[in-house]
Amino acid sequence: MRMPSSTSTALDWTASAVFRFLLAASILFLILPVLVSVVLSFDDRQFLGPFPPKQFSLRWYRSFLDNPAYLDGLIVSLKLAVLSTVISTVAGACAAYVISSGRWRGRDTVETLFLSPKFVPTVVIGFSILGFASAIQVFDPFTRLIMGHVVITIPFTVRATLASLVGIRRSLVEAAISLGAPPWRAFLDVTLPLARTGIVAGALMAFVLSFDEVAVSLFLSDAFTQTLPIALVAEMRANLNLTVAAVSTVFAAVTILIVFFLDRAIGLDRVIGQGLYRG
Amino acid sequence: MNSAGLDLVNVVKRFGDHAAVDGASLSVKGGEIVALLGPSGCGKTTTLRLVAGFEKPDGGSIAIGGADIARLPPYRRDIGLVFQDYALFPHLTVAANIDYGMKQRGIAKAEQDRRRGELLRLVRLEGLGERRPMALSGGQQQRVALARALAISPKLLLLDEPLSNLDAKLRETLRIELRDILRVVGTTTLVVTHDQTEAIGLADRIALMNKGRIVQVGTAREIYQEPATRFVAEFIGQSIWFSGQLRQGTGRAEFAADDGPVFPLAAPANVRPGSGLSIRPEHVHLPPRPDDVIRIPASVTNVEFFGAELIVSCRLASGRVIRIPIRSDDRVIPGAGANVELGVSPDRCRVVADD
Repeated sequence: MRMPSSTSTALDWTASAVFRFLLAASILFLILPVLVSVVLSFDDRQFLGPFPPKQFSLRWYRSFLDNPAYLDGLIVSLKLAVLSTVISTVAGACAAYVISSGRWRGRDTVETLFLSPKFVPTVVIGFSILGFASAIQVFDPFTRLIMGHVVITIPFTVRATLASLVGIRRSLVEAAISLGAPPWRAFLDVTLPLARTGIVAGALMAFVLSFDEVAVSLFLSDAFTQTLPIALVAEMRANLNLTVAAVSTVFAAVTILIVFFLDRAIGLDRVIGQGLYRG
Repeated sequence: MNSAGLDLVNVVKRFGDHAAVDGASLSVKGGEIVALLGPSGCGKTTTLRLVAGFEKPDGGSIAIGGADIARLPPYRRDIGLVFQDYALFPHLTVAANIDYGMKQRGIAKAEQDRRRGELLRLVRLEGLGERRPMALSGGQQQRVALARALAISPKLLLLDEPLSNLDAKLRETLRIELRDILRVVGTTTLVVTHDQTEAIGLADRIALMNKGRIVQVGTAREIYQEPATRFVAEFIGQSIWFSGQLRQGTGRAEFAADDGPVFPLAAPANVRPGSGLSIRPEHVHLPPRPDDVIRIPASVTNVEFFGAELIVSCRLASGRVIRIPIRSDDRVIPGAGANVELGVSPDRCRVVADD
């Protein structure tokens, strides 16, 4: 049975309207809360008043700069994110390469193992690493934090690298070898450039994930080494004022800037363009 | 060109219990183009990978120019390989693809430029050096792959199903083009293919492979006229197969087919048990010609018209139906249901081993 064309046109129109509405709603809910917090961070009032603010000032930013807990937290968070991203990306890419190179016994188990932190509650990971670190006599909070952040980010770097490695046909590497390149050379000339998409995407995800991680850091930090999100949570508990909004805004801005610069430096869009080459 | 011969002696490669290559022997002379032809799963691709060095043989020897290469890793074999999917590096330009092998060999930049220019001219891709492979057509990509493989002045060129990724129309033109290029270059070449047209069109000689072994080597004509086994007879061209017994007839040997007809044989056949008789369909004549000593009664069941040719289906006394091609001319063709006589000349009958 064929539907009359007017009915099906109406259906098409309704469906497309619903999709547009859902898209707009999603974008709104993603962006609006952040915008509210940005606007609030410039509020001149002493207290949390009704939105929107009547007068604006930079007082909460001054209060942010006056509070060493935040600045220290920002520095710790940045150092932590950079270091754990580097470790997680290198280790994850190597793991992915080994996993993707041929079928060997226990391969699937190893792959699952690398992806498992995604499915374990972060609270459990935090507590386990705290226990493990003390068992192996690691009491430095920063080292503990690195351990924790590498564990929670590695599934993402492994997964992203794997996805791009799978797309590289074996014949490409073999072509390089048949032309006289030893396997390590073929890896550098062919595999690595073609896997760059995944490696960079994984690194970006790892960075952002580490930068705003709370649960694991909560277990692994101490009073003197706190990440920015932890400092934020602590301050919110102690005295809730709009410094939190200022910190959140700085936090979001730093994240966006870093992603932007990484993108410019490594050329994410060019890299994504290479995804087309995968056969 | 520094072309050397290729010699495979009793090469064996097993994957678990299965012998993919089961004692294959083949000799390719310097500068010769040989096609390794066989159905999928016959071991031809494994043979290619063994020669290229991507697989290690479990037995036998592989030599290029008389020197055993079994211990050489694939990147030291000086073999140019054109992959079925061309395997062009997508992140490099056409020029960089062609230069890749020369770079690995430390060839000077000026020499690289000269040789690349020469090769681009040879494969008629001048001016496309700065393109990316993805911006080229399938046929152009294949020629880049060929130029890249030739850039290292290989002792041996291996082509893996060179035309299979192209559409049927292009294939014909590109086969002739590829053949001309290979002739000009003069490098010893082994073409692996499952397509007999490709093999006949490209190669000087054909090596037929089945179940991990080389069954027969020869020119297309030799193989077509004197197939060594039933497999060969049926893989290259069409064959009408009769199983039956060889026996001593009046004066000479004859072959009594299980289907009924008795075929007196022109030449004494060198036969082992399990042999049968193969006749090319075009050698079965309707109506019989004067020197067709063998007459087979049959009835026509169907006539199909294909322009230049007709296919007449004939039922033999045993009930089996064979299809005979007949040139379309003004001849009157008996219609379906007619009882006819088919004629065969004894020197067209080949007694071959049934494998």
